[in-house]
Amino acid sequence: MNLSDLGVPRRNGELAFDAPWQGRVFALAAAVVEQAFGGDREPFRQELIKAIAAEPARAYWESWTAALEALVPSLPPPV
Amino acid sequence: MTEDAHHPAPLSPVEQRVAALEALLTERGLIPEGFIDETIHHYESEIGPMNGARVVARAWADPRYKERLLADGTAAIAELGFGGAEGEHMVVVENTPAVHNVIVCTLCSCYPWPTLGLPPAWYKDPPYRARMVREPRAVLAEMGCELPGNVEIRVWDSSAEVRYLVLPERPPGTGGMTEADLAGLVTRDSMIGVARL
Amino acid sequence: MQGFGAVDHAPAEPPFHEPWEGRARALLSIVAGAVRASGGEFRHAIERMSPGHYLTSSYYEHWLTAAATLAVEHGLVSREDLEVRAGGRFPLSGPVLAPPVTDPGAGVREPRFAAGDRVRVRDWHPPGHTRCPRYVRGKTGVVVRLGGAYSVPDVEAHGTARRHEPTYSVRFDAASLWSDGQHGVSVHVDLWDSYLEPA
Repeated sequence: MNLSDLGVPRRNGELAFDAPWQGRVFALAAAVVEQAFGGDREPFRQELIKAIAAEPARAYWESWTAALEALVPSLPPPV
Repeated sequence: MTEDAHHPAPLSPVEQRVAALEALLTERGLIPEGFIDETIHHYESEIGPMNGARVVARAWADPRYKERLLADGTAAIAELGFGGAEGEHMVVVENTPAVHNVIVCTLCSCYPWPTLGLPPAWYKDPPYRARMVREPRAVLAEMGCELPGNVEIRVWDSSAEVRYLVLPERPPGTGGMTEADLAGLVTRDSMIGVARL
Repeated sequence: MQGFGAVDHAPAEPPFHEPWEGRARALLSIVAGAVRASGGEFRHAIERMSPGHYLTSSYYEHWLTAAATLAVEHGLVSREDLEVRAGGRFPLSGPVLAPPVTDPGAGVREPRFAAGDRVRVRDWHPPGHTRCPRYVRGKTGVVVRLGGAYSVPDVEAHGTARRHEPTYSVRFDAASLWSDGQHGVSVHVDLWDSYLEPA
């Protein structure tokens, strides 16, 4: 299913996400930044830069996913 | 594979990974109730280039606002109610007949979310990121923005905390327009700097 | 890394496969509290595992190794103690690659440059994380704007230390970056104070 085929009116001219999973992984990263890093985006940005550098040809949102996976070991361990 | 009500299409590998991440992070208590849906809605519908267009239109209509915008982008943009993540340190760069500005992030995809929303795919892809600092005149021409040879090009690589927004030149023949109508002329690509109006 | 496929982590996986994994999690929490390690330090401790160890061990063994490594490095326990109690080898992560940042300096470093100064980007290739783009290393430009003071990413990635430094927007003529005779083109890059030296 291609979201842009639905003719959804776009206020900003272009879909932010081409597929639902992209929006979800974006929101998951936002949650981790807020809840586990107090709003500091730098740890995630470092992983994103590394993920992109490691596989420059990989699709952007897949690099984003890899970056979030790389951040998981840094999450505060649940007690 | 086609879908039907009883057999939804299987998840692709990356969809499985995202589902796994969501399960793990939810289990850890890191995902507040409703956060994912609200976030997606916000970035799909509530922010986007229509915000930046209002900033540009205000600057065209009000010379004092334009001065404030060029002196302190964050504060002036906040006057219109826009701000937040990836917009905490805004610098607005002005196009003139002699100078054309264009924005890139060579390291990842840094972009001024509150005024432009999320970046388009081409902005995040390796060709744009690598070539815009290497041969901007050629890349701009390929993207439909041919500039006379005597126009100075300034490329801004968002490598630290500052996020940039281009203030495009006001098109001729728009003297009598309202601010709302002016905003309707401003495109996302003109505020990144890959198009002129 | 190539060819390893997707992370094999099924959504319905139970929290612990083996009792020791739960203890590894609890241990990490205790060590984290005791040494006040940052998320960056954990991440770096896992990154420092030997590739063979990392790839052949499970997620929770990564945590166990990180906890043990940090405990030894912070003096909570000696490596000998660990190996005696474990009854054999206890592989730990390798040493920190970048020099430890123990003294990031007090407060914000004063700006060393002003708008109009010519500066040269240090031609170094730090082993750890940096946000100095490769294409400007060793190049000379002019400061056009003094930016705010922000935490230096190279410092933050390697531990709890935080050093705030001024940043600068530095303009480079494209011709000097690429030696290709481009004219009328400049590239501006935002750089931290310690990335620069006077030109």
